[in-house]
Amino acid sequence: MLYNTLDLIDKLCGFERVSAHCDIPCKVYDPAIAQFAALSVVRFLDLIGELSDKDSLSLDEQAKLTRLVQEKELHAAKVKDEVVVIWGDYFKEPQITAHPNVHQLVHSIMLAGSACKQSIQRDNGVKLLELVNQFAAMYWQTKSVETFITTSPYLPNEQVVYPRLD
Amino acid sequence: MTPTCKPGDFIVILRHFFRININDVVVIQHEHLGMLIKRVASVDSQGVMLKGDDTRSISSDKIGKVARQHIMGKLLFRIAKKQ
Repeated sequence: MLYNTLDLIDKLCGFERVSAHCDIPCKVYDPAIAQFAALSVVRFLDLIGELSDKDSLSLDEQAKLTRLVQEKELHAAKVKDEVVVIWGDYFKEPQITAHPNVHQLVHSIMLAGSACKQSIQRDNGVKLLELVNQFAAMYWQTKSVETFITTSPYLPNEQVVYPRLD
Repeated sequence: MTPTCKPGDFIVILRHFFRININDVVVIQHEHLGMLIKRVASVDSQGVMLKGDDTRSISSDKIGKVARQHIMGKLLFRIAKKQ
């Protein structure tokens, strides 16, 4: 009876909401997923580029192009999602103080990710990867983990920032 | 904050009180997390440290020390949501 009355008043007036904030902060973050997705975007752009060199496309090639474009956009969106989670959930006051340009960098990644979704220019993919590499280096720096840059051992053989975990 | 409070419960808080004690349940206005209900884990002159009753609760470290002026009230009683 009392609960129902309060519930009715709440619906009419709207009481203030209090959260217990029982999320499960797993604290497991790794920019590798974003880097992997960015590399995939570049690779898809390369494969799309190969098809664009042809004068006409067979039905199979048209189907392949459709899949490549779809996957390119999915992976570009994945880059954005992964970076946003690390930025939003992991980067807090100590990390932001140490890296005040993280907000600008993440915003640049968002724009570069969107550019990759909107176009088939390889340069956009490479730029996205470069920015995500910067973000990865920044992330590992907050963990006091040294990083190094080397060429990915698989296509598209672009430069990637890796943590030195040994 | 289960089992003390569950989603959908109504709570009544005491906005004016003299002192905060360990184990009091309080509602605070957190700078980043918004309005929270948590249990007082420790008290000192600079504020209170809070914890949740649920093992899945956000950690005390993540909440940080809460100054007295951000405590909006102490839990007086709750009206449980009908199951």
